[in-house]
Amino acid sequence: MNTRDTVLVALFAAFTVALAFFPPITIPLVGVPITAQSLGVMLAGAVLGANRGALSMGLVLALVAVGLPVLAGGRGGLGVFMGPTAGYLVGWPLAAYATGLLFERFSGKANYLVFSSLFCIVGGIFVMHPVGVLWLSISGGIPLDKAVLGTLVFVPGDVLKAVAAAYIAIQVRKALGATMGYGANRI
Amino acid sequence: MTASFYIHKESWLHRLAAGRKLFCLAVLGTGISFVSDLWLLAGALSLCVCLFPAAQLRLVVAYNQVRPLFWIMAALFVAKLFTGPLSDAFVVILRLCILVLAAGLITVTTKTSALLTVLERVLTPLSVFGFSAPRMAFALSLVIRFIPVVGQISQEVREAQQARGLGTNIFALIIPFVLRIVKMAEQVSQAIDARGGLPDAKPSPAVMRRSQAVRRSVSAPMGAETDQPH
Repeated sequence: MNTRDTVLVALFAAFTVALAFFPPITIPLVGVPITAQSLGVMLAGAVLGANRGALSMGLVLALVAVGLPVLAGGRGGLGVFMGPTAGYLVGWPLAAYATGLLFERFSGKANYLVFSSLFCIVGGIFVMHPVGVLWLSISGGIPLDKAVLGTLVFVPGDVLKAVAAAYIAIQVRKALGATMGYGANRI
Repeated sequence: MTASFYIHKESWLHRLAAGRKLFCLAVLGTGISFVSDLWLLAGALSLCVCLFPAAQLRLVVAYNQVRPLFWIMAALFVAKLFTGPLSDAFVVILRLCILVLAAGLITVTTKTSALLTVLERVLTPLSVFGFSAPRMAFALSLVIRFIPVVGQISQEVREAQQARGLGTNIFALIIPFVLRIVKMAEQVSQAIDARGGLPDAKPSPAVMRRSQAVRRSVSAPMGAETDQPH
């Protein structure tokens, strides 16, 4: 971790915080309004890679813990970690790590929307949701299968977000490679 | 944009050391999962609520802690009704309310800087795995410092894209936003290197003082936080 890595990690955390203050935006063509913050999780992994992506999401969680309103809707504080949805939050660094790892390992394929979407879906859904559902089931005291059933509603929306994040990641990586002198996978 | 949730008052709860408050929360969180007696839980809940006036805070502050959870709690309550007796549903909701209130009480009665210090102390043992607590503290103060700047960038990008009629296009908004973040990171890291680079990976007294000074200067204008002599 040199200075640049540390600053990138910090600024991506600030970026994810700023996304919380984005008004809900709509995906063109589909027209579903979404909150932008969870895009930041997948983008952190996709742009920064596994380690730095996970660290920057960890920083956001640290800010939440020390009592700053950095989550969507101006939420924050220790209470968030005590609530039934805390698992999704704890899943952020893990999701960023998983997405980042896939982008690093298969960087040659990451410029295809299909693969890049898959990487984002693995992190944003297959890693994030199990952690979230597990915590929901434990803290809410409801059986795991019921908890899974209850959260399936959110999966279609999250798939759309993952595809959006994947598209953004591709464009960002291309632009960084083309105009700012970064190698394909060395941001 | 990011004033903290801290509310300054002069009470014994405000004066209590941050580490002790967090320790109590951890004990409460562990202990409460073994309690399923409705009356005991109701008593604990009323105690939590009473602690807010004890900290010279109005009751609406307590209400604000639980209010965002209203819908998810309602959903949980309904889910519990279908899977077990009514008392179980109440137990779960009461437990959640107690924990969220207690945690919220710590958040509103403890300065951000005090919580940051505890966080740094708690994470120091992780240096075994190559994790550097001083650098994390430095990165955290960077984030806090740059949230307004990043917000400003987001505003600029939005205005530029609105002029092109792309003000609601998520891609037109976020792609340039990310690119500007990466570019700014380049400049900021050069600026930091020009001023002596990152703090040492291992905490030394001088560095601790410096990072605390940075943090104080960073957090001072954000809220009503003032460093009172104790």
